[in-house]
Amino acid sequence: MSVTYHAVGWSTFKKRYDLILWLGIVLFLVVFCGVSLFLFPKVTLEILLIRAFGSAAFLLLHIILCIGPLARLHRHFLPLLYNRRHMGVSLFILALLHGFLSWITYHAGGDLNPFVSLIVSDAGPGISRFPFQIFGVMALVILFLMAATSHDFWLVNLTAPFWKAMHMLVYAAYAFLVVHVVFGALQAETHGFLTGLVGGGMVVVLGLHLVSGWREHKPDNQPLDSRLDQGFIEACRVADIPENRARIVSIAGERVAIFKYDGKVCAVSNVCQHQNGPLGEGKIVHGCITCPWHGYQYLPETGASPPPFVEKIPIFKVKIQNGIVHISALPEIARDLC
Amino acid sequence: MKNTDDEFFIGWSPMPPNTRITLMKSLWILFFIVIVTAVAGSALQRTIGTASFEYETVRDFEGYFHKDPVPMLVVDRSGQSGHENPRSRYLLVHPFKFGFSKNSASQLNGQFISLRGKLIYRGQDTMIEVIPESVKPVLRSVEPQSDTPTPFMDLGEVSLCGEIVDSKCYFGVMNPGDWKPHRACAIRCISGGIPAVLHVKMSTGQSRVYILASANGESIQQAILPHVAIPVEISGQLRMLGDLSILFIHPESISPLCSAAASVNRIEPKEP
Repeated sequence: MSVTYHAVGWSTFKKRYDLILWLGIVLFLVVFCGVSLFLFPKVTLEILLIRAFGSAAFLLLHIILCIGPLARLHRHFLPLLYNRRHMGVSLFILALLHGFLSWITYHAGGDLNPFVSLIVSDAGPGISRFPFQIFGVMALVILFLMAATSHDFWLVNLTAPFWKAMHMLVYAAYAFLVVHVVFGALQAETHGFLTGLVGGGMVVVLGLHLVSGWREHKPDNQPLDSRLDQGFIEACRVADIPENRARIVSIAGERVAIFKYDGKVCAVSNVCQHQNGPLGEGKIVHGCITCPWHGYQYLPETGASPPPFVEKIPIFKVKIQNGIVHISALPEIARDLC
Repeated sequence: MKNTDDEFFIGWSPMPPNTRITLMKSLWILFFIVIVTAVAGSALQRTIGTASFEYETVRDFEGYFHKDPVPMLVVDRSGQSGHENPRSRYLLVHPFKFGFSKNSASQLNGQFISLRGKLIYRGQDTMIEVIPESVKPVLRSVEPQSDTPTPFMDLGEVSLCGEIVDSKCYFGVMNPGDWKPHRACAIRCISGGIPAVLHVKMSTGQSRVYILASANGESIQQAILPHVAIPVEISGQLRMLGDLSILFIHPESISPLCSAAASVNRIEPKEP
């Protein structure tokens, strides 16, 4: 958390994260280029780099897409999610290098404007002529938008819901890149293992999202008894909430996190104001509800971040009768402490 | 996966011990995946051939220039050891994605010339990327044999399955310079005047290229662009010009799918 904007709010963990990230990227590039040059010494440099950067970017996108559901399935994976934005920016750099080199190599120096050539040169009827480059371009545009807005300045000014929706375009980028690879590289490099790698990657990404989505939507599929008792709805048993943790319930499609701490119970919106992270998967730390994604904190009694921070989340009134938690059907706006 | 402990990671606080262990195991697995995919992605490439482009070496050449069916330099090798064929034929192209200038070709046709350029070769197939301003006619006191045109050796009508590529990239400027990822480049190169060739993978596993020319004996460019870098079947008249195989075709004879297995020629021409 920070009250002022910095280009990057560096911490020791973030530095280690980036070091390991780029160690992995350099390792991939060195192994890919080294093996290629050893087995195929006549390969031309620009093609080798195009293939190395493209493959590295595609693999990194798979890793990025797997981190979200893994962190939802087990909190031990949360450190991978903490600095995922830097992975996204690194992915864009690799994709840009791949795209720029491909554009120069395949389109420049000819009898047609390279921009026009990019659009018209690989289209035609039939699978063998199915255009693949334009899908790569569309994915690159999305990755650029995401990388350019990958900062809390844009998160605050675009608002979290819009920012989040825009960054969900990563799934469109993934779909475009699968088409780009299947109708591009895999039409030439037809070894079954490579096709299997692409197919296996899709299965892993889709499988993890389906499993984590199923678990995440469990509360949505167990609607609360909507009968109101003086504006309150029966939510859950106090005994069902772990100490300093939350139980997530759904009221009219809105998720509410009900926390238990120090012999008290509170209910807040499940949506963190930072990146819409799932607060109900967080924990009470130092007396504050702490978001599992980036450690944003809110006071359970008020829904406001402790000073000097200014974020606020909606809270719900709570009544406990016979060990049953009842929460108000409508939220209240967070109250300022100061 | 179940959370069996109450550990909770926050980026600004020390990492809990069990989370650290899981993270370290995950990193080892990730690095293993990185290495496996890098090795597989590089080692399983099948499109990189033994083609070369001497982009740092400029050589001097002398020989007779012929513009049809494609611009070429015929160099007399008689008397030189290590050359089976008394004449070497080098296809000529300009830098970037352009063929040899048609105007220059018309003026130089049949003349003995000198030029400077960079050698491009793949097996027996050779090409020179000419430095345009280096091309000069040379006056010779004694006319050698090479100025007399070599007659074509007609091998009859054939149908071949293969892929149309631009000769410059396929011979070595780009390696690999074929199939779908290279399609846009091949289209630009052929459109820019670089000779189109049909790359055929023989049933023996060896590759062979056939220079494509129109039925009236001229180079062929725009009419074949829709068929570049996809499996095609072409019928035409096969003729040999020295060690060059030239397929004289009507563009409308190109069909996008092979009736037999793609990339295997149906009628293998015999060596002359």
